[in-house]
Amino acid sequence: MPDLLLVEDDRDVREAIAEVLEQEGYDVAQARSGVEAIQRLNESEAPPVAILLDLMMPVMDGWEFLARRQRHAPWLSIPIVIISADSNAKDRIEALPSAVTAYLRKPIDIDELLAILARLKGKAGGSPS
Amino acid sequence: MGGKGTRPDEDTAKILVVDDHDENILALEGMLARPGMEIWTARSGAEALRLVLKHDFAVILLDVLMPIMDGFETARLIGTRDASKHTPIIFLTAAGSDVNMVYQGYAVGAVDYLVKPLTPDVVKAKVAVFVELFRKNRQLRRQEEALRHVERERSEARLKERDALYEASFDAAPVGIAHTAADGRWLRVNPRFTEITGYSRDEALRLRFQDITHPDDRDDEQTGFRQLVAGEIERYQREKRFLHKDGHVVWVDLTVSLVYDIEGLPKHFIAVVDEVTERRQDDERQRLLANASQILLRSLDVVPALRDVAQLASSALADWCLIGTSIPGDGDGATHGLTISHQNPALAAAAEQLTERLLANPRFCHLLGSEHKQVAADLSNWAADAWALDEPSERLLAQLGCGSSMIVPLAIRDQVLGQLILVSSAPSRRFGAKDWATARELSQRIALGVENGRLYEKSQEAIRARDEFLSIASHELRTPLTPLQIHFQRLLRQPTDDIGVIPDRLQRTLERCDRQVRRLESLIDNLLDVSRISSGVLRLQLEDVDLAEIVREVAGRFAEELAAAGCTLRIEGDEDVTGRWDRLRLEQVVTNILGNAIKYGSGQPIEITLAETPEGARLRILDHGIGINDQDLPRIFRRFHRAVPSRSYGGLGLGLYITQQIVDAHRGSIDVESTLGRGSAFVVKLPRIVPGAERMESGPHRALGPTDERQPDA
Repeated sequence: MPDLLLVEDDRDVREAIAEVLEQEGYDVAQARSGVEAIQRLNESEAPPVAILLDLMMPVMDGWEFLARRQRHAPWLSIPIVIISADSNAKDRIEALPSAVTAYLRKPIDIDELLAILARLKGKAGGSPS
Repeated sequence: MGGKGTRPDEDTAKILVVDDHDENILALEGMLARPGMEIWTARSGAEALRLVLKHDFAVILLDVLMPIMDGFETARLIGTRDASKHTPIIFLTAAGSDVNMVYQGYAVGAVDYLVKPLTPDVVKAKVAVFVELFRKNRQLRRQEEALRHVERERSEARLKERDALYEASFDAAPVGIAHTAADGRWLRVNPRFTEITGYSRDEALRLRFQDITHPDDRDDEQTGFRQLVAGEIERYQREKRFLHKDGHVVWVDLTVSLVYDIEGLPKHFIAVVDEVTERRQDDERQRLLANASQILLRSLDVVPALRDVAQLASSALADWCLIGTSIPGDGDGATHGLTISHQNPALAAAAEQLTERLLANPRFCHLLGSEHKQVAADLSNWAADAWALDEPSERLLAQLGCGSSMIVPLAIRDQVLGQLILVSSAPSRRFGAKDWATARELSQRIALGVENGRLYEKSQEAIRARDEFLSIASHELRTPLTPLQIHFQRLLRQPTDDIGVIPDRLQRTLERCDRQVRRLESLIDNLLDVSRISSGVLRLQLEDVDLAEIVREVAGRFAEELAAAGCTLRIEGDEDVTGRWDRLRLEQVVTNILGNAIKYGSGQPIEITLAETPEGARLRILDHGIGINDQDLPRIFRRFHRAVPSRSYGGLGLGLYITQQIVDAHRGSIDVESTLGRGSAFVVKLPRIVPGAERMESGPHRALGPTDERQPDA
């Protein structure tokens, strides 16, 4: 599995983030919805360092993805970084059964995201290739 | 031997002559015979005594010397009899008799003596005296008797009259009067009493006091009766409820006292009953209206309010009450609501079932919102037809009891928002003019309450729609900003990697673009803040904050703008001003005020003074710019207010509004002093610890940064 799984329906947003992250040396897998994200996770043998998750997406939104994750123990250990423009999401996120690692509101500060990922990568014991 | 009655005259005086010698008798008869006299004769004492028992003699002429029983013995015996003891006796005695005999005669009651041989004139004269006396006595007696008779007749008439009077007042009394035995049985009731209770005289006499008393009043009454019997009170008085024969409640003013017999023992109770239902009902009607208004005003949530009002009306104005509402929606459809309340709690289930059935009845629901008329009807007949009731509904209706009813539309302006139906389950009860007036008034108040609730709901709906729109709009606006910002940041950070050295001009352009993206973001934030503040969800994330540090940071961010505007900035005061505040919100405060100072500062120096005060912090930002005129000064903290023409100065007019809301949320204050053309001074004061903040503070367990923009905790 690549280092990061980026779940985001908006192509421009997804590609902009992916580009920056790849430039920083991360291996980024992309998914356009919760359904695709689950496919990616099922396809890979090792879990990613983190999942970057948008909330408002067609087909299967971020909330539903989080609910599925809740029922699938191996995925529970994967850190989640939520990237969303939904300004009212905070209360709902706080009410989730298992905590997410971070919540960044769009438009995101790319340096902030990189700092979070660097920390997670450090914890995971690896370093950007 | 019989007497010789001459005539049965009233005035006839009977004279008894007792002598054992016929010649004496004959001689005396001859001497005494004259009209008005009746001579009776006896030849022995025994015979004389027999006659004395039968007749009332005016005088007795009694011979002293007789065989067997002499005159004295006879006189003694005559004197022992009540009827004759006062009859005068004249003894007849021979001449030269012993003087002792005379004394003896007087001793046994003689009034006189006649000495033989008798002289007719003397005999006549002496007898005449006693006859006359007798006649006078008899006359007196008769007169006395006549008087007594008249007296007796008079007193009997008086008694009769008194009885008749009592009887009449008992029967004709405008209050109910009843006599009650110690065990509560009615002994005697007057017509008014039967009117009040609905029971005939005979029916009432088979009942007891407690049988027709409202259950809630029985205990109190028992106590009252006991106190009466015990002599603790002379009279028991209270307002109480009787249950009328047909079931409805009758309010009466009751006074009970105890009647004692001659020996002082309690005989029976007298109850005086004055019906006050009318007065009670007037009071209750007024109370009902007042309470209904209160309920309807207290809450904008109409459903529970209507339930309470229905309950009130079902006990105060009718036996049961139905309030149905039909609230028009945006399209053709309407939302229907219904509550039925019965004053008898045992029928709550039936009321509930009928509610469900009626709500599922399209004809009923249609009429709820369309029927304009007021209707007085017997509900069971009327409803079956008007509402096209099915059989189970009809049964339920009958169970609740259907008598007279008032059906009043809940109308406001020309719109019908529902129906108020008040039903009496007692067949005899007919609603009167006062009931109708109350029902109409009640319907108006309910309609007003329903309308208020509807308008409130609509405004809430509009606010929700606006907030939702703002939320979606901000989401939609933020999404394209994301790649824009990422690309600008990348270009600025690594300018040489892809496109070689960027010329200064391009570099400046990129910086400007990046700033504009951030400005857009901040405008979107402001819009959202306003929406949050108006829906009351501006929450503070409190932590230990140094306001001086915030001021320095914000000032740093404005360096370029200050330079562009030609303003100098001086920061004075304490180096360290700490408290438990919301860092990002205070950044917003400083940013907004300082931003304004630069914007309207006319390129003049700006001064920031920061001081730690006993209470907390005091921040003053002073500019020497265009200032604010007096009319605008009180309004600058309002939403969308702008003291300057929007064409010359950009912005949404939200900055100071949000600033004040943030300061308010910190329980602080913000003041402004300004002189047109001379500049403005904004002073913010913050308490070191926000009162009551414990509840608002976030716990350490949270994984997320406290606000949207916050960096996650490590």
